[in-house]
Amino acid sequence: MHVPGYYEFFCPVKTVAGHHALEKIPQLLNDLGAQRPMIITDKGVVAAGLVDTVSAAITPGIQMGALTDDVPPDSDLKVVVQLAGVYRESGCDAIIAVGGGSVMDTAKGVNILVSENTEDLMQFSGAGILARPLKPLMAIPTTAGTGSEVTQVAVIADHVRNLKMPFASYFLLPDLAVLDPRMTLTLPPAITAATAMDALTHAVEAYTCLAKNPLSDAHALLAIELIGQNLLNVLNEPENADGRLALAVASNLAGVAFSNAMVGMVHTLGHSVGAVCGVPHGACMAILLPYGLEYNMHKNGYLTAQLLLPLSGARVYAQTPAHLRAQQTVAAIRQLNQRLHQETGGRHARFFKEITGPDGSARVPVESLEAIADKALGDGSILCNPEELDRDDLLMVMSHAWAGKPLDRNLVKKGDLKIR
Amino acid sequence: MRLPDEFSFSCPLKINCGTRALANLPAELSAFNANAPLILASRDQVGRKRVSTVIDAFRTSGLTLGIYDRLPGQPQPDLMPVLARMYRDGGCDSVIVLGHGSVVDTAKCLNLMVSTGFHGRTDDSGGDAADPGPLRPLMLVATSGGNGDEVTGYASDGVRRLCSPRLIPTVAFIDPAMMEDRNDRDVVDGALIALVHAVEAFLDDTAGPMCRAYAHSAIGLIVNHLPAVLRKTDRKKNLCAAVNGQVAAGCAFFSSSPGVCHVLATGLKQGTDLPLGFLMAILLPHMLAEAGFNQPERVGELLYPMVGADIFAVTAADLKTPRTIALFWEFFDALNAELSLKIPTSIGDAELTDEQIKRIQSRLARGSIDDHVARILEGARHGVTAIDD
Repeated sequence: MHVPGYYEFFCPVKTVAGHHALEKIPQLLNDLGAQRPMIITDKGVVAAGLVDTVSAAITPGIQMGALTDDVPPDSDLKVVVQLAGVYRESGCDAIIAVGGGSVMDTAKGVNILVSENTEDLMQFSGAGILARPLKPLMAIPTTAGTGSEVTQVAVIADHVRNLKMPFASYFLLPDLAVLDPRMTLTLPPAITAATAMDALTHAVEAYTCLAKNPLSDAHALLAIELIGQNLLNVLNEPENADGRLALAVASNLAGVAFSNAMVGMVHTLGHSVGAVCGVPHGACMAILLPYGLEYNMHKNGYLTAQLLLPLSGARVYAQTPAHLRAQQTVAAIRQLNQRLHQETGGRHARFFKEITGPDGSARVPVESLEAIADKALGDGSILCNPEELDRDDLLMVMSHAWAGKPLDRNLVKKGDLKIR
Repeated sequence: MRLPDEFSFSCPLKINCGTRALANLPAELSAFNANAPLILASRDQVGRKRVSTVIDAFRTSGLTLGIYDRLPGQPQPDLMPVLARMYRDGGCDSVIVLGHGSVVDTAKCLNLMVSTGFHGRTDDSGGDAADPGPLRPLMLVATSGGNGDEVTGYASDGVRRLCSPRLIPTVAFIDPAMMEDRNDRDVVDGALIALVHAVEAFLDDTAGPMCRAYAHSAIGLIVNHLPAVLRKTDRKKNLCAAVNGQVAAGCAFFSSSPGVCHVLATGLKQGTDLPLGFLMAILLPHMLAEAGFNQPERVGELLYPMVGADIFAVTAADLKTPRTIALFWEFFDALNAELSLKIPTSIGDAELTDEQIKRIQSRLARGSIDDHVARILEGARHGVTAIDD
């Protein structure tokens, strides 16, 4: 068990999970002293009937203050200000965020404005600016991947001034996360696959990168085990509620793990591909995860090897010679991507070259790789990667991930510094 | 891994663990919007030097501190109003407590009182307890000798035992500089209590995977670092890791139902001077043997945090439970090799009479757990685990 010289661990979010978790919301709100919640969601979630499911579960005990589905795919300052107005006019006293990352970020932004009774969100941008608890916030994730229901950060885009405002504070953490498999039962296979691979990447990078600690490790191992045991089953049987619950719980565990141990180069490059080419985050994570592990293998191969146990089970682990386990972990993730590709009718991409837009054009043209490498150099997650990365390294990894070739590890520039 | 159909988990505690963790005290107070702490300690328990170490952490902060380092070894209800007045008159907005045991209980009760004016209807007797609402920040500076109870929502004010998640400290600081050179018996007693709590939380089917993650860490940290503490190998570092395990165990324990070992050992304690942790250790292998009949896979999974992936994976499924039990015996042997007061191998060695055991058994065992408890006690009486038969 790895014990670092110093670490911090914190996740005060109360998680309520189960097949009837939604029905507990009235009591949970009551415990928070709230009676008129505002539901913040997006049109996709409403169209999928999920808000109806939430409403039906909670209305016997709760009077809804307001419901808005105006959250755009990318969080927006104007929308945050507008929704804060709705909250005040409707006399709400709590927020229920039903959705994915953008909904969670928007809800956190609204919560700042209504709790601080201001219209100026900018003054609270940055780390540790908020000084007191906000209004009750409940998060109901509708994908099993981001783990944003347990993170203390939010990013709100100001599209007028063309800037993104980051917020980080303990007070941004939701009070409650409600995990109910009914919220993900209708997720299409490709999104189920991509979001689960996002969660898997959170857990794997939390376990293998520099800021790991005993508690993040334990959360990561359990998340990987749950994903390894349930992802393919859920794709074969989408209405498998036990499997859906397991993936939602795994996403939550992985969210706790990575928000306390940080992530590494898979996210470094993934953020950049998303920003330059608009590829969904989960798809980037699924493609890049094996490459990140290969790139760092000379530094942390012993950690990657340990992940074969939760990912593939004790029998595979025991049958694999010790010196091959790290490579077998990478192979298992590639095999998982291949199976997901097959199970989703080819919608789950295995490498960047095969991602195409609606018109059939390449979403990640080979000419964009240099821009991706340039942008990745400025990403904060690069700091916790076990091996250093320069522009050439990033470009080399991206070119392999673009073409779908296993990384040529002879091309990795091995640094002298040992991990202590 | 099989999940319970329904579960919930909450652990509001933040853990700051490792070298110079205390240097973050002012920043953590500030993050929780506090800047005038009252420091509570028992100078007899932690020593003047360690109180000074905590005060030194504020040297460049510019904050004004209140300090009371003469807390008694037992909770004194009469002292609470005095401390509350000190807190209010000093313009304090938070509490920092050093140590473990009743000192921490006093700090939790004081925080409850000064935050809400609440005087303690939050009891753990199953009554209709009111939620006192959010409390002011309470910072715990952990020292060796604790048992994890410091980070739970339990506290005794000297009259009644309180229970509320609101009592859980805000941040626990685990710093090698605060690891005292206490006598080994106290250190082992506290660590064993925490270990057994963690094992029982790990086996609790209803607790969910978050609780299990804390228990997993706790078991690994205590089992792998406690023997090195006793061997005086890199003692402060290993103590720090073991205390880290105790804190994780406390989090898991508060999120799960008290297990058989906890309940039985608490009952048995009334008839012996043997430390509670030693009694729990006597019962543990027998509880595991009993649990192994009903949920062998779950008990076998304990092997993972104890020995790591390699040995866990190569151990045959049907041998995982006996191997786990054997490892606990080996662990106790390793501790006994360094202890003057040994962990007994049976209740008989603990000099508890059959009469006392029967009385406790009849008082504690109810309904369907009768046979279960009887077998554990019978095994513990003779010191032979049923799995050996």
